[in-house]
Amino acid sequence: MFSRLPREGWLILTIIALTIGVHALATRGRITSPSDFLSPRNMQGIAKDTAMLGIFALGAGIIIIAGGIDLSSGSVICFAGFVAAKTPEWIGYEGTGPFPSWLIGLMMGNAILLGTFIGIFHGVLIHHLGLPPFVATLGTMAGLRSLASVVGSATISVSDPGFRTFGKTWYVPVIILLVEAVLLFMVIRWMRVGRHIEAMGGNEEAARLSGLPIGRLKLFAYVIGAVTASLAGLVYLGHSGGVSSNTATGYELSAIAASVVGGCNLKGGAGSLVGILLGCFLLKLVTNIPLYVIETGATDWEGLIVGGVVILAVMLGRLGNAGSTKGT
Amino acid sequence: MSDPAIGWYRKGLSIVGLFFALSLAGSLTGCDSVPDAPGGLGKRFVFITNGDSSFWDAAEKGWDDSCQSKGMIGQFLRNKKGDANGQIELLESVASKSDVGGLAISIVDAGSTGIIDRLREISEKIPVVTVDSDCKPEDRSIRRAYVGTNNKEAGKVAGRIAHLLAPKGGGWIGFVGHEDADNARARVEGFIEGAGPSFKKMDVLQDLHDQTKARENVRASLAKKAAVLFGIYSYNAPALAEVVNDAGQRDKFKIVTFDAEENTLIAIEKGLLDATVVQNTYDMGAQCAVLLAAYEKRDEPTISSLLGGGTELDTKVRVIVPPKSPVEDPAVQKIDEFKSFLRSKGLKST
Repeated sequence: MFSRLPREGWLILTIIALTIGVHALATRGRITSPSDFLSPRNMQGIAKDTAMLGIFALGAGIIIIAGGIDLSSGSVICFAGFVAAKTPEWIGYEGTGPFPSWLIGLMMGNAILLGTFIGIFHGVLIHHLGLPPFVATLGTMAGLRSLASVVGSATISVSDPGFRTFGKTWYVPVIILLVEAVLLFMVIRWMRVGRHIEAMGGNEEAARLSGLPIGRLKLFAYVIGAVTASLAGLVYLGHSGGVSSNTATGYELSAIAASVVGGCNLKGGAGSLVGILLGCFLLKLVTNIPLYVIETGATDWEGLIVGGVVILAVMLGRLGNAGSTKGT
Repeated sequence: MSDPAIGWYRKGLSIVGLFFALSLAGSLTGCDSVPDAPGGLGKRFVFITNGDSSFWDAAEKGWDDSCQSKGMIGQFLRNKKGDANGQIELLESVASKSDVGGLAISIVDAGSTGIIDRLREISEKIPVVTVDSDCKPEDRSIRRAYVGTNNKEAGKVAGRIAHLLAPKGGGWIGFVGHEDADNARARVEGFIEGAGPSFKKMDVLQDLHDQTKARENVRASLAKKAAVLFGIYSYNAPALAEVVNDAGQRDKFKIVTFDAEENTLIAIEKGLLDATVVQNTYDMGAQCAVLLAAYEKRDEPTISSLLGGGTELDTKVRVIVPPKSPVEDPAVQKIDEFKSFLRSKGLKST
């Protein structure tokens, strides 16, 4: 376990260095809004954006630790949002005023149920039908987005203030993420299933020969991945107040990038939830900084920065592993 | 961790990480920081796009030129994610800044109450102008003005040209990123009105801003017996020209499109498209800056000269046709003349 500390340690150091570096240069008059970058409003924004990414990146990270990959999380976010937003119409709800709590509960329940089904579907495709995870989740990625277009080509709006709290109030996604992270940490660190998932990701054949229930473990990992993506779908729906068939396009890559930056080995078997959370925070921080320091073309730098951080993180991780027998 | 060499090795990595972080911060702050413009308005003005299409290149040029001439600090931000959440992230960065004097925004999704909520909050502090894609009529109190094409009128022009090209009428198929976007809806409505009752809508295919999908949609439509193919977004035009020509079916369809990407202009020159309705994108960027500067200075004469007492500034359209086109209409301009105009602004497309 201590072997993971250096990775998380340097992530924290990088985050601190970035913040101090930008602030130091800011106070020397190099940027036009020195106080705004560290303003409570911006810090709350970064915390909320980190939480919204972290909610499904944790699930994606567990799949990576289990030796798989999930390309469908963006589409699951989109479709779960659709299911939640359409629920009042499907049940013929015609009430006016704020949604009753049972309706909000039903919207959430439907989205989570959808995630569970998608996770089971992935597990069956991958374990029982032998499809490579890349192919199985690629199919779902395309299929769900198309299904979202069929369900409703137009944007479906949700303006209920109660439901909107999920994503509109900055600390709600943060609380959701913290609760989710604690639960998953307990599962991965203290329950047998967590250790078995790591063992399976490290060497599936050895895990099978040791008698581990590979099929159930895969099912568990993909259900966690899809359920967390569904949860993120609810938060994104609350955040934007509407969902259309292009919502969350490409978000799966952000989740994979955050996991890799956080120390997950794409070959499986290694990674930590704290590392994934720090990876999410680092990615959101480095994409936020240009908005405060670059006047022209700030958003053009985003992809370059994320790409650079991911490549550097993997390089450093590989160098760090060179002297040890196990991954991060 | 038992080998002390590994510990030192990892400390070395931390130092590399720190070095990287500081280099990144240094390079970012050093690369394009703009000092307060001399004699300027002392505030920054922000333009947020709805996506990352080359459609915005000319708007950015117009915005930059206008900001420079007005002594404004302009920040042009493209919504790279192309969805409502991406735009909300950019809006939140604007809301957290203390020195923003005005905002111009092309709303990516008028149905997103999240975007409207943020704009409502921002509009209480600074002037907000929508550009190209407006909010819904019931939300228009959040913006001072709309700058851009009157999309319904532009759609009518496209419909009128389609009618001139295919006087007998027939079926038409539309190609668009998002059918629900305000500008797309208005263009389709206008097209139906402009083309008249002899034309029948067969389908409007969405590509969700995916240009590969845009080409697939065209390919799938070739077998249908449409008289007119109507490209509603800028990138639909080269997709239509390329796919229809590659399939050897150019003579089967009349093709009317929107905007003038570089490949669209090449296609018009070669006669692969019959007409393209061109918005004045350069002017959209330029007029937003002029209007926001006028709001900041409370320059009422300029505001009323631009808006004429209303809240909309129509940047108009023109129809660009091939050199030997038979179409005659007051809005029509030949391709050579239009390219001369672009050259005068230092642009290759709009």
